[in-house]
Amino acid sequence: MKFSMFWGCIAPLRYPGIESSTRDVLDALDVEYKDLEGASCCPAPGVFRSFSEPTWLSVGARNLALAESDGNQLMTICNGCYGSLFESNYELRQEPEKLEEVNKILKKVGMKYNGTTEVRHEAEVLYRDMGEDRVRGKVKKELNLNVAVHYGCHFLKPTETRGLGEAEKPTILDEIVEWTGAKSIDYRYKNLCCGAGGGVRARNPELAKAMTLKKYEAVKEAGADCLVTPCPFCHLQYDQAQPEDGLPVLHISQLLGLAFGSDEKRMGFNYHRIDVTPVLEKIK
Amino acid sequence: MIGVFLCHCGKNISTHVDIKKLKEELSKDPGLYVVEDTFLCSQAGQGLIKDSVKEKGLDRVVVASCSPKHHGDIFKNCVGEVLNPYMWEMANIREQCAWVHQNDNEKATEKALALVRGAIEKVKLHEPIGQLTVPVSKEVLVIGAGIAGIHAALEMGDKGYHVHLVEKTPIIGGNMVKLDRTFPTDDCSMCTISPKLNEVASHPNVIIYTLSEVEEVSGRPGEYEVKIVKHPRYVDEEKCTGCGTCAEKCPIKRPNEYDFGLSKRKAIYIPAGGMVPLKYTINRDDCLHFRTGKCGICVDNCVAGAIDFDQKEKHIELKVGAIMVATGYDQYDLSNTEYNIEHPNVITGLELERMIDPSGPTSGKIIRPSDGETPKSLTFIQCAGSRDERRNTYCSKICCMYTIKNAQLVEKEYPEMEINLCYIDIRTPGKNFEEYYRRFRSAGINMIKGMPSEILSGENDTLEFDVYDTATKKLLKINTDLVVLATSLVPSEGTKKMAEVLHLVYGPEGFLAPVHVKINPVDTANRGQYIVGTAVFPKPIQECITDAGAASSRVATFLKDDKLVLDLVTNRIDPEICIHCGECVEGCNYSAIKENEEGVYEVLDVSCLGCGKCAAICPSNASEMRFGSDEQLKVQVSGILSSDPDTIIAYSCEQCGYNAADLAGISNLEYSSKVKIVKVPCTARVSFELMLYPFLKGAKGVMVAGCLEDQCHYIDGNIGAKERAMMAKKILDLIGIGGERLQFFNMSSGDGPKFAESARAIAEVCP
Amino acid sequence: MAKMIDPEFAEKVAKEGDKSLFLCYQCGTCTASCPSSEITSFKTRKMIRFAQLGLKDDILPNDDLWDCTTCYTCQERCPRGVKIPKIILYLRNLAAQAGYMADAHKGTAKNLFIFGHAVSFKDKHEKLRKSLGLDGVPHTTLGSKKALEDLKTIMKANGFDSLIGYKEEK
Repeated sequence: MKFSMFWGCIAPLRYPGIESSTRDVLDALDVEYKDLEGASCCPAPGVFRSFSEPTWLSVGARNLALAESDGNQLMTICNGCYGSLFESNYELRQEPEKLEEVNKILKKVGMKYNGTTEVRHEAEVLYRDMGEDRVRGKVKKELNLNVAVHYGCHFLKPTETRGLGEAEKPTILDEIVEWTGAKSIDYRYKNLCCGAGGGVRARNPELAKAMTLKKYEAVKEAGADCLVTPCPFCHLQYDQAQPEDGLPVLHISQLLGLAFGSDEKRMGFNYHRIDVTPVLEKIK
Repeated sequence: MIGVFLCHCGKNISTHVDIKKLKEELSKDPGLYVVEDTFLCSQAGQGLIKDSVKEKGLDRVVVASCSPKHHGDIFKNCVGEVLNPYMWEMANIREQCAWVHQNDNEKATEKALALVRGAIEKVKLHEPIGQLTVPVSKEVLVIGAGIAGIHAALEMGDKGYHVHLVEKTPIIGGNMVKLDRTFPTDDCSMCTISPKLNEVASHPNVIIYTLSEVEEVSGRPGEYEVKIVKHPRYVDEEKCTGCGTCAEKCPIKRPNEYDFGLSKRKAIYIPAGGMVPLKYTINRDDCLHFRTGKCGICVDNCVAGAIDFDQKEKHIELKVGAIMVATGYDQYDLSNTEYNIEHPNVITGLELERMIDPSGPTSGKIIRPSDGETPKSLTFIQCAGSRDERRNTYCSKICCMYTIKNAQLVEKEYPEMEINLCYIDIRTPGKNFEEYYRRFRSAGINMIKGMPSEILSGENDTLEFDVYDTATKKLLKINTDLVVLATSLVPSEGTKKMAEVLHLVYGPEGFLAPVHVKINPVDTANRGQYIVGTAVFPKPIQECITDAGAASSRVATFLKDDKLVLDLVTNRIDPEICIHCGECVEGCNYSAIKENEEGVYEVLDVSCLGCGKCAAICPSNASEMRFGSDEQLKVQVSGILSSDPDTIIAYSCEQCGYNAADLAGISNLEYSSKVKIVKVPCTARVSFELMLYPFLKGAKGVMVAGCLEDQCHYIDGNIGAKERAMMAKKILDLIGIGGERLQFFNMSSGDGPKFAESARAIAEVCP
Repeated sequence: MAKMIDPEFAEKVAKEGDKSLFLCYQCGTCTASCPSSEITSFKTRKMIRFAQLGLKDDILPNDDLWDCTTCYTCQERCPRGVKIPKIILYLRNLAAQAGYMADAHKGTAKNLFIFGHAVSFKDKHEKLRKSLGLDGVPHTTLGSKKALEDLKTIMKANGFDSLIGYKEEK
């Protein structure tokens, strides 16, 4: 099984530590992958789908067609990319007229999408394809951390199309976190959105910040050491918009990297706004 | 000699009531044969009672054990094997003694002794109660031939009873035959009901009387005497073939009431085609012959010679065993209201049904009555006259569903038509109703949760109004071609009339009242009379059919034998003492007291339910209960008081108060052992005298425990009783005893805590 | 002033947005579950109701329309299965076409033409990548002129450039 990796925009261009951590984790787990060459923005669902659905569909279809040419499943590391590509893939498969329209446009650049790509997220690949034994097998250091897991919005929802189980009290990420030896703690507003999505971070940053603040208060109250999320955009929002004494934010790949004993320098912690040192100290 | 049987009930009673002591004390009386047993209700225990009666020649029995509501029937049957089944009394020393006085065995024992002594004194005055056997007729009267009445007639006919089905209008089928398609299946009304119409018209056990009304009902349950008047049709039903030539030729045209004026009929007519019976009728007020003496065109053209201008009304007398009332509903009259129903383009739900009906006056086309054109927009307005404190407070139940049904039928036929629906809520309380609503909702009809204040006449005979949309907080303006009002349903004229003729209880809105809305929904207070369908409350067709089935079952039970056997636990009136004031006749809810041919008031045992109201209100003491007479109750009270003067007598009605007291016992709630309960059938039984009597015998207080105010099981017995109690309190104040020593409590039969609370409350003010 | 219902606009939203629009019976569960509704004047139920009634003028210029983060909580909880975020996204499309697009958003959209990504790519970003042992330039449209041109062709074929007011500098 080989994957074509879709890195997105925020991780490679703003928090590249997430990209390198992921590469190290996949290597440690002996996963075969390649970069999806020539990929563009997914395109960002909240932003581009708000402006023009047909554009969103065509740009997404191009990315899906690239993976189709590779003959691989497309793996993302980001809720936003996952949500965007999964939903556009779903639309195109459900509505043949839309697929036809989109292919007319793709034809202009000599491409065609046949609807056969499967869109995956790193977290559910770890959970479903790898499984506990394989991942635990690579853990070199049990992390004694209290982790506040933030699922984000587009990983599991809308549950009707995702098929990853229910979103009210999910356990996928909590389980993965516990495979590293860390403790996933319960906290109020665990299901709350980070506030960045839907184009809100760009257009109404105060609103996004207000929602981040709510999460910040809840995780502080619960006594967490860090926030862990499978989405670089939530990651960015929490790292940038929490108050100074906010919790350090880790992408799931960074947490796994720490457990696997990967090279910390490759994880890019120095470039987080909120200092990650307390976490690193605690797990020594 | 009286046998007194004391039950240990295992340890249930004997832990707190010293049975040995009771036996010792009671055995001092040579007139008593006292026995104790561990479980009297067991086979052995019952055997003990029966053997004792036979061996010792006992003529009366007292059983001191649990509540009569628990094992009363066991002991009644047991005693009934060796004595008259009413020559015994039960003293409740478990639920109402041992279980509520667990903290003081001495007091519990003292109280148990008093209760047993009370029972002994009472049973001394018991008379053997006989039985009344009355013949019953197997004929059944069904009033109203709508879907409920027709179905009832079919059910009874199929069960082998002879049914007389009486219908006011010229045809059978009621309101249902005016409908187009019915929810939630959207099959057409006529298709569903036609087979039933034909079945009932040809059923060997059913006789149908159309154009007929019930004028008078007398007699008694099981043998009602019914007088019916059959209005003249002026057409011989035997000869008329329904060919319709007469109507073709008749020169007089009138708006057809059946089609709400959307079509015309002649002076000789059938309300609509395909109806049963297919016989023509002459409307006397329209007919030229009757108005001027001239014109006989119909006679000249009738090949069958069926016209009969001299036809007279017929009077028919029937004897029936039971009566079923199925007289149905009408639409509420919204004339002179803000709904502007006088405007030609404002119509009611039924009127729209006539339009949509493909065999109706417009052949299924929706038209604006003002000009016959197709409306470009149609607006439904719900709850017109319902859920309205100014008019009808209740919800008419079927309107949400039939409006949705009509709206989606219209939308399918006229996809271009703009359809609005203004509502407060959409109610879908039935099987498959919500799914029907969900399918309807995707059709894109403008659903507006907001009601108009008034419907104004606009230009070109349109209508316009503003409505406030709740979710957007916007005021919307609606301009529409046709308004359909979901008009409130009210009891029909026939329903109101039958309520009077039969002395049926009805609610404030005029709908007929069953004995109990939940547990006894088709019986009425009049034995042998049953109510079904929309005469009782608005309901969909399937519920009318269920009602009819339920009532048919009840009637079949009532008339299953050729006779009715009843225990005579009823009232009797002494004609020597009766002063003919008529209070009892007025007061009896069951029409059980009648004046006979000799001008004497007598109780119809077959209708009497033994509530005791008449006995309590009779000013001359002429009315007496055969079982539980004033004398019996008085000696019971004095028996208790002479054993233990530190007593509050608690008259508790068998339906609620007594039951609540039992439940207090089951929950082991504590209250003062001063409170000793005397069972009465209804608080109506407790007369003014009975309320004050215990004080004469030294009681510390009196409490009366009855049903909740609007839930008296004998309709309104507790109301009168409470009034008497209030008066009695004033007397007690005047004579210096203190009105606070007499208290009236209303409680639900399931409210054990309320009984205990009440008992504690009064014990506190009666030191 | 009282408003007239516009059934044509409502039909358009139902047809091109999502047909579940008319299933909404205004129970308000969506608003109760919405984190934005709690903080701002945006109320989910109201927006869907505007669409049902075709009240275009209350939708297109409305800033509230853009306060939804598409968190999907409303859709998860809706008892009628209304595809609320899809409808809101469609209404935003109409608003954008009518000229109601925020400048910040136009900026993000323009990035797609310049970089093929939603955010910019500058030297400092390249340096950061290298310091972590990654290739300085990702193998996306940033690393392939053809890929970027293909992307631009596709976007122009959708009229996206004129929508956001992007004119290519020659």
